[in-house]
Amino acid sequence: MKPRYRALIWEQSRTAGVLCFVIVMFTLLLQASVFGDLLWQQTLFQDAVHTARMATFWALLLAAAVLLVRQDGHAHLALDFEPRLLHLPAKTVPVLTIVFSTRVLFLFLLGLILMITYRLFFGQSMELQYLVVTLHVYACAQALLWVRHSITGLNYTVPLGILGMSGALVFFGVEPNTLAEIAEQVWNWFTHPPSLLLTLPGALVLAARGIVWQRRDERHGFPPADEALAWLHEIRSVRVYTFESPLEAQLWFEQRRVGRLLPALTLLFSLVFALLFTVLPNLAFDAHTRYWYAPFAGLLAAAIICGRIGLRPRSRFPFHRPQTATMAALSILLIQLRGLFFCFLLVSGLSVLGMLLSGYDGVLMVQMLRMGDLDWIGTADLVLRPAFAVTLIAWALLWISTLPFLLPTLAVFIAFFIIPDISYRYSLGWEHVQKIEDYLMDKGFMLPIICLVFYIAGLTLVLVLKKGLYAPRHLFWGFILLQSISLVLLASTPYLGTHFFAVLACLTIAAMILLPLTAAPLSILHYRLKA
Amino acid sequence: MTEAAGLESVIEVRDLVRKFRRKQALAGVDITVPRGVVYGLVGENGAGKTTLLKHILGSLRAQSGSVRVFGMDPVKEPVAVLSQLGYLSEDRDIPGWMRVGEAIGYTQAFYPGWDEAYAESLRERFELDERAKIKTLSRGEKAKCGLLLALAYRPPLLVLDEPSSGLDPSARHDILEAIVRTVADEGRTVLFSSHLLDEVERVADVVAMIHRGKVVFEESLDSIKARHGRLLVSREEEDGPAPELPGLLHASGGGREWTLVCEGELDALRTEATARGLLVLEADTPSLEDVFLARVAPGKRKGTVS
Repeated sequence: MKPRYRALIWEQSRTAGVLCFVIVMFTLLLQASVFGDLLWQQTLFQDAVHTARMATFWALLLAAAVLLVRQDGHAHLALDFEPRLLHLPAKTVPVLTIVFSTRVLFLFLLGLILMITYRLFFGQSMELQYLVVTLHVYACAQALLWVRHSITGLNYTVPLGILGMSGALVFFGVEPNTLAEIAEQVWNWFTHPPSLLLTLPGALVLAARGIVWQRRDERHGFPPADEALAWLHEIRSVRVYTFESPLEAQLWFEQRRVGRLLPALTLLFSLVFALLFTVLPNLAFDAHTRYWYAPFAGLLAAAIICGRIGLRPRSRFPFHRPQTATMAALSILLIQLRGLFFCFLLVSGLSVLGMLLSGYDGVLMVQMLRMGDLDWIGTADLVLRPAFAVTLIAWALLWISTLPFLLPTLAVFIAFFIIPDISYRYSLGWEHVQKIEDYLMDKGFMLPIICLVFYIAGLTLVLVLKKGLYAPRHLFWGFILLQSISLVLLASTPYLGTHFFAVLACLTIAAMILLPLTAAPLSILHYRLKA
Repeated sequence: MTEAAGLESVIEVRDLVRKFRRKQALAGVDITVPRGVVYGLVGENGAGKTTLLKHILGSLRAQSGSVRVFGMDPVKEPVAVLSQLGYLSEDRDIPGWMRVGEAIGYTQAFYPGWDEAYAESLRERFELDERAKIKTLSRGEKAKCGLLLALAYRPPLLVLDEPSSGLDPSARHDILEAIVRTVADEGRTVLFSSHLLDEVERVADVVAMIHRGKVVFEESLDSIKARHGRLLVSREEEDGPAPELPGLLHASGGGREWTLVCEGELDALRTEATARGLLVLEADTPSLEDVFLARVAPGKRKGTVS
């Protein structure tokens, strides 16, 4: 083998190897933790096996995702074939084959190691289909990512083609159930190991074709989506942007940057979860309600991603304008709040649809409505209450990546849960640990969460005062707002004014809702100064 | 330290230190930028120019030392400082999804003194289509767009980080000689960093040279030139080391003929060379590039002068 190819294999193995090694270590910890629970009889064997299997499968999917993305020269995540590899003095196809094969090989080895450790821990073999599916997902996604610039229009022609074909089949009298059966057969085919013999070379050929065209600057296929819609831009008159105030301009900036992201990602993740629960029903916590809560899961996943993107603009352009960190943060907060409102409406609608699709619950709700056992207000309450609760959690998740929020959260979480848990399990001689655990079990998980929220809220308050991000009068209005939200929440509980924990819980929820007002400016200030 | 320090200063940096983990980016930098001058900051790649400019913008907090812009700390009072400062970043960081017109409208909102007619004249002069997306612009067009955004509110201080990087000669001429000089002639201040020494030489009034995080010198261009001399000398011996002269910074050549860049007055250097038995073939003032290379080029330095 030529030295250049040996060097490339070494380089690719180092990258993929380190990533896979980290994931192996992480998954081993998870498997060992589940095994520990089983050993100390904290869980049933079937539950432990199921949890460990799911953790392993998700770790495999995580590895596939990590292998698909890389960091470019600006430390941004990039999905394309690395341009520097195209500039190597080597033929494109061998270079591509080495990159692709190395990643597939390491993914396979990762799966093999995790399956062996699973067997060692639980004495059972893990089904091969999890690894096969992961390899399929990786190979297909990788090929599509690498050809998307050369074979244009894939992003809209493929979904349109699938929808069109399904529509045509239904139009010509094919039952929707038959379509579902066809989809199931296709899926089953993907879980059989021999299918890899077709998928892996196929993906490689497709990717190679795309990369060779990319190197020659050739494009084939339909016009890209933005070109296809170019006429829209042409007929649209140019808007002259004038803003009344810097805040208005900043709100426009944030709306364009992240405003549409949360609803779009919520919709996307909802569909992905619904699809995942259809093809892998075992993944769902509860088969009967899986479509009902798919949009909720979608909103939570979208919130985590949007929170990260929202607080970390790629460009430092807005930070060079004369505006305070508080104003920049408030713009993001308001725009995310706006997006969250649309998401609330979206997940409410989708959850109703999901409830009707899920069968039992949907049918029951319709029957109760027909029989008059449930009125429209009750139905709205049934639908909106969980959607509202999930929206509140999503609001907290949007700001989970703010630095003052995250680090103390982890620290307190470790202090409250992990250290007592480990010391209790391994009998480190801390006699009071048992008492703490008993106390926590008695009061549920309320107390540590309440302590955690007040600790973080207090810390951020001290910091914003110290850094002069808010004037004292703002804090006064914040306090009034906190009290108002607490009272509204308290009024909706059955323990109105009587139960100490209910009062404390309402204050905690109100503090969590308001926490971003202090955490976000701190995060922006930190990011602005890079200190 | 500098003759410029006597004038009213817009920027004052004192004993500024910055470390990025183990790398010492700035090691006690002192500069003073007087009002109404074009101030050139020169140095090799990685010398610390951009790090210094980021401190001036308030994007980095001084680990030690102080930074004052218009007498204010840019970290503590970012709004007051940034509202008087136009900045063109090295990586032209206008978001790619914006259109030129949107970037203009967005920036305009932050500056009450925005001059719409001037912005429009600059846009036409730079031939920028307001419907074009920033990501579709060439490197030079991005620089022009960034410059338009930095100039259109006529800030008292213009900070340009490598303004001519990626520009063709005509655009470079547009920016440096037409615009920067005009800004300075209006009594405003321009601070710009560059490693293209010929352009610094063409427009700068005062030059500071940074090398490995330290200011090697900071003085007016005329003073720099008056303080250095370049001699082309010939000697009788064929072999041997480079001829020695007091204040010698750099010697190049070989055999009988040598070019010597020295610190000192030209007449005095010529007299000294003759006294040492050297035949002076040519004696002139070195270019800024000669001085720069003599002082900082790795492996060629003959001495250091503080």
